[in-house]
Amino acid sequence: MQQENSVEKKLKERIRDVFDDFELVIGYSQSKIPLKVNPLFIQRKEEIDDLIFNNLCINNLATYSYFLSNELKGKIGIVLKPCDTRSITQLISEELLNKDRVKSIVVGCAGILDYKKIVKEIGGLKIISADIKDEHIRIDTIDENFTLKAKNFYADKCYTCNIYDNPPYYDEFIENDSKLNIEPRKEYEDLDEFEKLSLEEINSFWDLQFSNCIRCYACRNICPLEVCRDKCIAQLDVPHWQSQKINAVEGKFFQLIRAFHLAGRCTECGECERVCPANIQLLKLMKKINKDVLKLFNYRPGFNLDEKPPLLTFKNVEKNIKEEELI
Amino acid sequence: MKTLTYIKKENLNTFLEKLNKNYDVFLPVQNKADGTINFESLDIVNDNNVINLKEKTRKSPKSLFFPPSENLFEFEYKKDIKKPDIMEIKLLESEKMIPDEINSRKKVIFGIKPCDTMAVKCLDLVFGEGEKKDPRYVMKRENTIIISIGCNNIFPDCFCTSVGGNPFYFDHSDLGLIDMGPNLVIFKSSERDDIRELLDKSHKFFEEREINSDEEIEIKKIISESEKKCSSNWESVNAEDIALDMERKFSEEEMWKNITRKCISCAACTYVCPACVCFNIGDEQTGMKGERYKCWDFCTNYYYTLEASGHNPREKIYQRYRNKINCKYNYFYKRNKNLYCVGCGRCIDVCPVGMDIREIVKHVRSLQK
Amino acid sequence: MEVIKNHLLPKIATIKKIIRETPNIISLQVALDDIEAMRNFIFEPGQVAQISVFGFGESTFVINSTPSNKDYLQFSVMKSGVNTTAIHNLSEGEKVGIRAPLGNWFPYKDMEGENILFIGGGIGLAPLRPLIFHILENKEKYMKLTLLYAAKSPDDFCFKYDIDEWEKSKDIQLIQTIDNACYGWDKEVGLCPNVLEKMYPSSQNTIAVICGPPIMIKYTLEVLKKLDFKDDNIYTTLERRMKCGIGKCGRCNIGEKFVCVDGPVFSLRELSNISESFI
Repeated sequence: MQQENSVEKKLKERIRDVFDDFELVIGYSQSKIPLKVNPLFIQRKEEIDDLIFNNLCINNLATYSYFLSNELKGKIGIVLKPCDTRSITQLISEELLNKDRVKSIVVGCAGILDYKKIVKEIGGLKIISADIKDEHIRIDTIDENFTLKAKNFYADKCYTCNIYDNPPYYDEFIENDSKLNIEPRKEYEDLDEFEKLSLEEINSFWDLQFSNCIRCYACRNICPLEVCRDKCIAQLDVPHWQSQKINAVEGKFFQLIRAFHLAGRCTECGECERVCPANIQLLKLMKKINKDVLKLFNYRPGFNLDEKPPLLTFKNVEKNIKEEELI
Repeated sequence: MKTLTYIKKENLNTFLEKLNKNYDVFLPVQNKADGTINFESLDIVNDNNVINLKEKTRKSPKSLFFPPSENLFEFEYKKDIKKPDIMEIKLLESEKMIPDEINSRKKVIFGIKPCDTMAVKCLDLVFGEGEKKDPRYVMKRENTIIISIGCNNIFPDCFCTSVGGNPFYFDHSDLGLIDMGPNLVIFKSSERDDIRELLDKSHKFFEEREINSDEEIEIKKIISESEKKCSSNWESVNAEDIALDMERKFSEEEMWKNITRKCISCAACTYVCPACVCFNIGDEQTGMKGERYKCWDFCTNYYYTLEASGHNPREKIYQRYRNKINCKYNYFYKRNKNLYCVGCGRCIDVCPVGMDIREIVKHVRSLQK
Repeated sequence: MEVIKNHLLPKIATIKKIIRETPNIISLQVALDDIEAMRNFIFEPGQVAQISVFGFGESTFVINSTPSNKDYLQFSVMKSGVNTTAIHNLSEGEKVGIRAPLGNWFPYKDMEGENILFIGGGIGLAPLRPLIFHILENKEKYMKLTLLYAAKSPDDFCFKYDIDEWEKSKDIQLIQTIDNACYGWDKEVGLCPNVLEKMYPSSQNTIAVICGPPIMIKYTLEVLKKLDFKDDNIYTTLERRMKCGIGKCGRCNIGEKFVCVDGPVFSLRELSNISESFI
């Protein structure tokens, strides 16, 4: 059990002040599972006491925005990290979300720890209990205890983040006294090694990754931008795009459908990779496509409310594509 | 127990390799790159994929009995020149696949935990019993030898004792082993011919002598400590009571909506569960040939009960999740006098949003609204 | 080694005749290619079959020919989705796959000695048809038979050839009704529940069997309750999306009952004990 920190206190106070405007507020709460947090749906004022905000809050709560705003009649408030607001902004710019119905309560972020990185570091052992104190993570497993330096285990997106205390969009902003304090890295630096590989090597890499896909659709359902979960062409019989079989070929086909559905729309929150039970490196694929979109269209998803996503609009002449060079 | 039959752990790897010459051995293998453990063939074990018998596997071993995808039969449309306006159909029966399974080698699943063998019992109740058994399942089951190792270590998401199981439940294993430090001791051995054959073939790995009273006490201690630890993870669930509670609280729509708001209706929990075996059947055709296949399906899916007219009896997520919980703790019990949950905790581990089935069941049963 | 039958393998059958019942409903008369199997085929009124169009999939239809007919099996198909459209595109002489008989049947033995009130709506008469024929063939065991058959319009009545027979028959009283009055229609007009209430049948020693669209069933059941029919004496058929048809794939459940094994015939007493039944 961790004591309430100062940003939690500020957050709770602010939400108590504005709570009557909302039908529902979504935030984070404690989880019994060590190093994880749970989404919390607050409908009564007393429940605000269960809110937390710390460096374990990795879930992107924008996932619930589209479906809840369709289900409920009133306003919905969502506690977001600055990186998560990109998902809201992208949904608004695609006219999938009404910005008067969903209010972003953005909290300044001091970075978030990546659970999968920590588990990999301790050799995949099951965490029995864990504690974070003074920038160190102490972990107990059945046989061994570990102490890790927290700053080495932040999520990849934290190392390239420059919006942690000035989000591109917010309705409420709660300033955090703790600031992100880790070594910054260059954007898309982790793709450099990958891009050096030959086409055959890249193909074999992805074939192997996708062969583990069991089509659980956790990646699709957790993505804030994939609002198509009840109408997905990967599951429909009419039109019959894909078989329901679960094997390497179908897994690859589904993941490619997904990649193209998210091209130029993915806000790189990393939730898909976090939730995948088969540990497929989904974020790598999305980032590569986003890097290409950035080069071709000079567009980064989720930063500008008024900018139209390039793959959803049509321009007669594209500034960065020299058509004569393509032939 | 009068005698102690055991194998030294230092000889385990050699024993398994020798076994692999006559049987197809499957066991928990850990991928060192990301740390996940799954049931794989012994053939893939190398420097990057090591045997790990202590921790829980991510996915259950049910795919060894119930594959994610398999063909039921193939069909071919044929045209007869004498009758140009009529098409004939030839079914290439996959009954031919059954002789393949007879001729193939026997399988050994080594290191499976007691909770997973309880799930094999659930699978038997669905596919292996009654009037309409699945012939391929029965074949696979008869060709498989289950060697189980009891749980000296209990994890926070284990709760087998709450649902009628035990960390040292060996009723559905052919061989039950207990980890006693340097040795793995045979606690239970089935009388099946193929088990005796396996033990005879491997006799040079196993030693046998009289048990002494210290060892008897140690075994009892290992068992009772695990039982105690597991029971502390959740209250004991009386199956009859819980089925009644589920039925009583079924129509409380607001409660179900509130406790399932987090759920994103993916298949993660269903596909890692060792007991869930709902499946889908579909046809694929290219040109004149095609096949009918059977594959895993999940009840939290929107399409699960979608009818051709467009009507869906379980349109909302809370209705589907309510059906899932009832299936596990109510309906299966009513049909088979067996709960459909074995307390392995995999669903809790893999859920993207932290749904905990123990919390859900507890909430449903609580007297407060 | 014991040979276990694979219940997911269909038998091939040929379509002998196609009858157009209404603009969107056809009836298929199919005979199993295996002549022995066809001659020895036994089923009870109310049981269903899974019909396959290979390459499209399987759908569930009630076997609505009379059980004593050993020449063919009849199914009535309304065009509504992928499989049913594929079936509508078949011609006489083409092949389908059949897995039958599946499910439970009407407990006609328990109905002996009672009056029977059949209520059907549109294609909902299909499950009742084999029961009506079976009971007519054993008329001496039953008391008064009444059939209330409702449809949207005169064109929407199925089995017009049977209706002609039953109108003339002294063994069964037939009342037809359509939703709205139309030129040339001189019989009853009105929605099924209203006409039923007007009929005011006695619930004494009477068993009601009702099949039709869910909304019709819902309101007609309310009238039957008003008329003092007991839950034990009302039977209906339910449908859900079905795949395996043998109670293994899990999807057709209503509560702890599988529609493919414990149904499709249910008494209202059974349904009232299940929380999930939405009638």
